[in-house]
Amino acid sequence: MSSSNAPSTPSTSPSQDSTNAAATTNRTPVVTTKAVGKLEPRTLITIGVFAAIYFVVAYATGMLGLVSPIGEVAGFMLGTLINGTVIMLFLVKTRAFGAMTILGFLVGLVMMLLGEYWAVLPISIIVGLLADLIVRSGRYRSKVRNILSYPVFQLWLIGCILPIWLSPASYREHISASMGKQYADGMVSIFSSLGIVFIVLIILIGALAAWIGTRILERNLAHAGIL
Amino acid sequence: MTAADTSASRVSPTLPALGKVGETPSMAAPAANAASVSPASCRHQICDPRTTLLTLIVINVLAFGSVPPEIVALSATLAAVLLATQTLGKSFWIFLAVAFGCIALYVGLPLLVGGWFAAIIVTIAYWTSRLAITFGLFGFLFLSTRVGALIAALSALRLPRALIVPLAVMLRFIPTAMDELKAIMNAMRLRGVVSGPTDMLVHPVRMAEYTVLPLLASVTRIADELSASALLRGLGLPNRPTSIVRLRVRWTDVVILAAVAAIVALHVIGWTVLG
Amino acid sequence: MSGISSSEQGQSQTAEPIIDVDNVQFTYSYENLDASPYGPEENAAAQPQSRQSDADAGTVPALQDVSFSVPRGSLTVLCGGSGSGKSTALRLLNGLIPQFHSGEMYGDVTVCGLGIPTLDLARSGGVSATVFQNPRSQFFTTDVRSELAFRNENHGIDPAEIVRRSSLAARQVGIQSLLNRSLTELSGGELQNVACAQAIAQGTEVLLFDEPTSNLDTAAIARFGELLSRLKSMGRTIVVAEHRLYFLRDLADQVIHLDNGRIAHRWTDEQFAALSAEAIRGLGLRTITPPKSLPLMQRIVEGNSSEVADGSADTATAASASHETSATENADDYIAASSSANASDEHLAAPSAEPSNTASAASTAATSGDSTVTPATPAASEQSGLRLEDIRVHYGRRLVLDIPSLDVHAGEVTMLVGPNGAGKSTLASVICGLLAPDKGGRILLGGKAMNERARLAASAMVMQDVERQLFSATVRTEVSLGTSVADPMPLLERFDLLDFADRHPLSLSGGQKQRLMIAAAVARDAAVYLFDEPTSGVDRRHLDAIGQQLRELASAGHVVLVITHDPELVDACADTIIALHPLATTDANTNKAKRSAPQDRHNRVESITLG
Repeated sequence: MSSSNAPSTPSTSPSQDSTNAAATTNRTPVVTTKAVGKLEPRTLITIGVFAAIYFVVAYATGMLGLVSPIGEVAGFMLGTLINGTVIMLFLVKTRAFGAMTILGFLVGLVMMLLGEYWAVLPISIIVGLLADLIVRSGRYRSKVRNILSYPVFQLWLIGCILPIWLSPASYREHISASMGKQYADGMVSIFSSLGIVFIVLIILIGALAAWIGTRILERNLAHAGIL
Repeated sequence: MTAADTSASRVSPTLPALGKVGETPSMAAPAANAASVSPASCRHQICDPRTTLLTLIVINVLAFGSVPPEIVALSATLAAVLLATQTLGKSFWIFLAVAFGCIALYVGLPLLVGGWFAAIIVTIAYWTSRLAITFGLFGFLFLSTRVGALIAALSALRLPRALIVPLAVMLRFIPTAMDELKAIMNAMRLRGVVSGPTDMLVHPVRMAEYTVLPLLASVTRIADELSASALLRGLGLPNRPTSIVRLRVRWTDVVILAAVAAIVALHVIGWTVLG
Repeated sequence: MSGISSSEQGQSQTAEPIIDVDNVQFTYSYENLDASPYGPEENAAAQPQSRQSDADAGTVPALQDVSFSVPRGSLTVLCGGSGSGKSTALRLLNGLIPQFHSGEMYGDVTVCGLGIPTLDLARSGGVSATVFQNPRSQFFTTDVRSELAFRNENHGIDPAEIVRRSSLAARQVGIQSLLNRSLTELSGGELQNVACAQAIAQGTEVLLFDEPTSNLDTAAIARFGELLSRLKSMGRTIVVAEHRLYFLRDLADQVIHLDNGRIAHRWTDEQFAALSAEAIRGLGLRTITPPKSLPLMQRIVEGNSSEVADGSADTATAASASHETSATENADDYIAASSSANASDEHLAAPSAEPSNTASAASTAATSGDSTVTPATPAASEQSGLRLEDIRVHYGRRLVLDIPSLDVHAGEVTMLVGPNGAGKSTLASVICGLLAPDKGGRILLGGKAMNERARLAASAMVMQDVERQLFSATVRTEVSLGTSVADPMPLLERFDLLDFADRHPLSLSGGQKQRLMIAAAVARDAAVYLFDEPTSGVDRRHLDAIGQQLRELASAGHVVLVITHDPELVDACADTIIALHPLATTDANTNKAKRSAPQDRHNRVESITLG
């Protein structure tokens, strides 16, 4: 209802202020602006829509995994790359604490239902919360913090490789009992080093993708009137 | 003004008008009862979605944990039986072949051959068998449960609205987003921007930009229209919404939960066949 | 039903208006397009200032001096060109303005005694129900039953009562059979019906429709008109914002014409019906009398069963059938030199050259006022046309398209018409090379067989949602994207886009975006131009402009194929109509009339030449 500029427009509009009391109150304009910083219903819908986009991009690029295991890693990375822009726009459109946590919950839940390791859900929520904290520390307007939050969020992907990465006792037992201890140790060390490479790649590509995202945002989306 | 607000908040002032338009409530009642049951029959919903969710989580924890092959096989059997209630088509047989084939492979192969190559095969089969089981249960969830029923189940589990609303939007929006993505890919080919999927790997950054711009443009527009439509229809109201989906526990729920409990119990007491 | 509705009308007090809009002015608050989304405090502190500067720069109010009232139980039509403010006016009534679309508003809006502008959206939704334009974005749930219940669930109404209201509404709209269906598998007309049913199930007295027919075919529009008349007779108060007016002529009690955000005219039902075609054209409104090609289009979309019975129709029967069905009004305008898909090749090569091109040009000029029509010579068109042979397409195991042979001539505007699900989009995808037909099918362009890659290179397509096709950062680069055009400026000039050369394509208005896409298509210098519903949700001026552009493309000797449901576009520029009838399948939910004809294994395709 605040209207510092109220006098400018009403004076130009033809007014019929002599009729009654209601008409004179009409001359006080109803001024509405986009509410920012709260998890109101409209923000919740935006979160749902972006979660769908995020998921579809991740899933569509993940289909490259059907070609080969290398394709799968490439798919993960391509998905991370494209989603960088999606998340950068998401952060600008929501600007509310909890948005990334809810996004993490949604992505984690769907991934878990899709058959990924259950820990993907708690991990997604935790990285979402971390991302939220990072973005909030920049009061939702810091480019650097928004960029930083994305690679942190992408670490939910660890949840998908976690069981293989950690190699539970039964797996080690099974391999060493059936094939020999040297194989068990060998496989476990291969996977743990691959896992580290995977994480480093996610962080690097995530940061790059988020940076590209902010550039697309400033160069294109802002001028397109999408923000 | 405030008095008018409250009168309009829950039940709109003109609602009684609807009753006069059609037949008497007593006429409509039998149809109403039939209607509230039929969504279940349409999708072969054999149990409460909460049962499905619990089964899914327990089996997930079990399969990815340290369990012997016997428990894995039992979990696969449970998933197969549940899936069979929904479909006996191609996907069912693929599930059966992959799940049990992988179990046989990782148990049997080391008995026949050794070496690094075999170790890798065994490892892949070991993990694929688990993924197949959990994915099979997802197939059961997908085929048996409507989005509306799933949302109702999660609401009944007292999940907060801040999670339910975005989840409902997401599940409804995923097919739309896929259509958008497909249409954009087609548009890229038509405009001569991209010649095929290989371009994706050759120019990833440019492709990311070309994909993401129209996608975000149309998605932002759709999100706005969806918000407008949903808010007008009372999405923001503070009261607890009701639901036309009726959740109830049936004998099938008891059977499924008993089967899950049995598998857990067998694992806890350390049951094995192979010694 | 009629007895009940009359008693309903008796109860309502017709004297007092149910909607009252009093002297409203509204200005959308535009965000500064050059502002960075990042950086300190710009949002918090600087916003009033930036808006002030916008106002100084001359931000035009979307609505000014708008006052009108709607009597209980009446039907009001809001019409006007794109950007005239008719949708904005409708948003006043449901509170989306100013509660959802932010801005500055003066004046008052009352619906059912509630002051809407300051009311929470959910509460304004308590007195009116809205049907939006786009079914893809207005549904919140995934299946019909949940969608009908969604609003009442949110309002905390008892489930038994919700189900009762839903089934009642479904019966009133006639969609009981759809109740258990998923929304994704419904056609455009069915989705529109679901949208109407959910609005009715809300139980509000006021129903608002925002361009409800944009995505509907002619048959669905006719049914929608019947539904409106039924709702009106039940005593509902209805407000419709629309471009298409012919189906509303006999329904409207009041027509409000908006221009530039102001009310330009108010007509009563008699005054509106009495307006001459010239007056309507002068105001930039779409036709208020049924378009000339409407009976023909309706026949095609509905699928005439008597005609289908003799499925292997030779030229004579198909022609007579088209005469028969459109005989009531305008049959004489069409010389239906028709050829069925099953007809032999010599049939297909011959017919469309016969009707004199001057005659067709004259009829086009008469209906649309375009005067710069220079038809290509028939000889040239036959050589460079598009020819399809044995085109079959399967999705999975399901056969979706089966066309033994079809010719599309160059130098003509060809309209592809048919009911939803007949395979129009699939056919377009095949022609432009996005989709490969089954083995054995051939597509020839100018006598040369073309594979998918060649067809992709030789064709340009303008999709229905142009936004999906815009990739660049500026209008200038958008036009030359993926082409060898070095200097796009002449093209921009030709399509009246020169002033926007450095704007972002997505920041243009809908009509400008479409012109840009057509310019980009022309830049590709393609041999085949495909358009998918270019005039859905488009005003008269824009429709005429598109018709003109189609004509220009055709007269330059290109193949121009337009998928459309719009009889007004057909009136404006069609030379030939290709009627694509759906495949006869054993599938229960496809057209039942077709199943009985055993010889109807292929898609029946008729070419109807207008002259």
